[in-house]
Amino acid sequence: MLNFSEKFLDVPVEDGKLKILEESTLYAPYPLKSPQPWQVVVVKSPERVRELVKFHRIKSPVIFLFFVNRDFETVCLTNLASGCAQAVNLAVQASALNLACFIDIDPPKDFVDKAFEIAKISKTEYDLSAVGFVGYPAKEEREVFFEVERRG
Amino acid sequence: MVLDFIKQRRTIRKYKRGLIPSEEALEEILSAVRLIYAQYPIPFKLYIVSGRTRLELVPIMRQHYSIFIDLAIIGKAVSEEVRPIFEKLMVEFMKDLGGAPITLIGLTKLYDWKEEKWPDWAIRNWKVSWMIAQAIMLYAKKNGLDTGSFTFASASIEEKILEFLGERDLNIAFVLNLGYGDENPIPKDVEWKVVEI
Repeated sequence: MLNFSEKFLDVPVEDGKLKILEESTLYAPYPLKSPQPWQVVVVKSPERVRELVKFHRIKSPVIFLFFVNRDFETVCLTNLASGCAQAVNLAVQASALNLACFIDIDPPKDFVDKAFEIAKISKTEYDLSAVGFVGYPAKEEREVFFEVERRG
Repeated sequence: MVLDFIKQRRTIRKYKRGLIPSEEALEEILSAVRLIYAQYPIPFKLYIVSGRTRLELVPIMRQHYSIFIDLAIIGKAVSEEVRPIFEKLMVEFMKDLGGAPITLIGLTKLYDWKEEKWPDWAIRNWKVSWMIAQAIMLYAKKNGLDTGSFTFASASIEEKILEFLGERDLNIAFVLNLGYGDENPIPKDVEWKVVEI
């Protein structure tokens, strides 16, 4: 049911599927004492995606950015957990749509800076809890080295 | 269909007594844990507590009403009209923590709760643990089961639970009840907080 991938085809994700993925991210647990403590930004315009993936080893046609509220400008662990739960929803839903997902919970600093910049989100109010790379999975070629010896 | 069980997953605080989840369902839930853990290896241990052990653990968990304090905070956030129902449910919940047949306890290495700034490794462990918790909750729902997480407002209770489990090096990341729900929580209002760029 979970299809993690690190390589994606350069094929766009259909809008209908994207809407379902987006909806799946709205149903993560969060403390009842506050409204949903997050903002999901879906980067899908090819120019913006190109700008962003320059700073990451994973390249996918769509990128979900899971921003969560800071608590009085400090990291809120509960909200970070909610953001990661949203990313799991995304991964599970993506697999059901024959898509694959890669979740990064500690992306490189340059990537994070660029994500805040293009999403126009305030760093004093939000943390980037997780990033979801989504697309159709490409066949992954792994280099496997081991010795083969035939005798007889 | 997948979206349905993602949407239907709610925190359940009352469980049908005597209805035990099947080994097959448990195994599928554990397969979800393995999938996440394989992607994000961290120090992690999952306790599946049931039967007599759960009965012994419940009095430790509900000491000093630490869970009640957390529930009371949540209670303040519910509307006036449903508050009496919520309060009744809280009192019931406190008797034996919802009467769930199974309680899952996820352990990892964390940092000091009193500290505002956690090191990167501890935040990573925390995040992965909650990815695991969410995967458990979704796979449980997929198998017709319900879950509900609860937290402690007391570090000393956490220490006592760890002592009970015989754990010295790890901390509690999450506690989840697992079983067949015996309540229908009100639907959650969700706001479409998604923007495309």
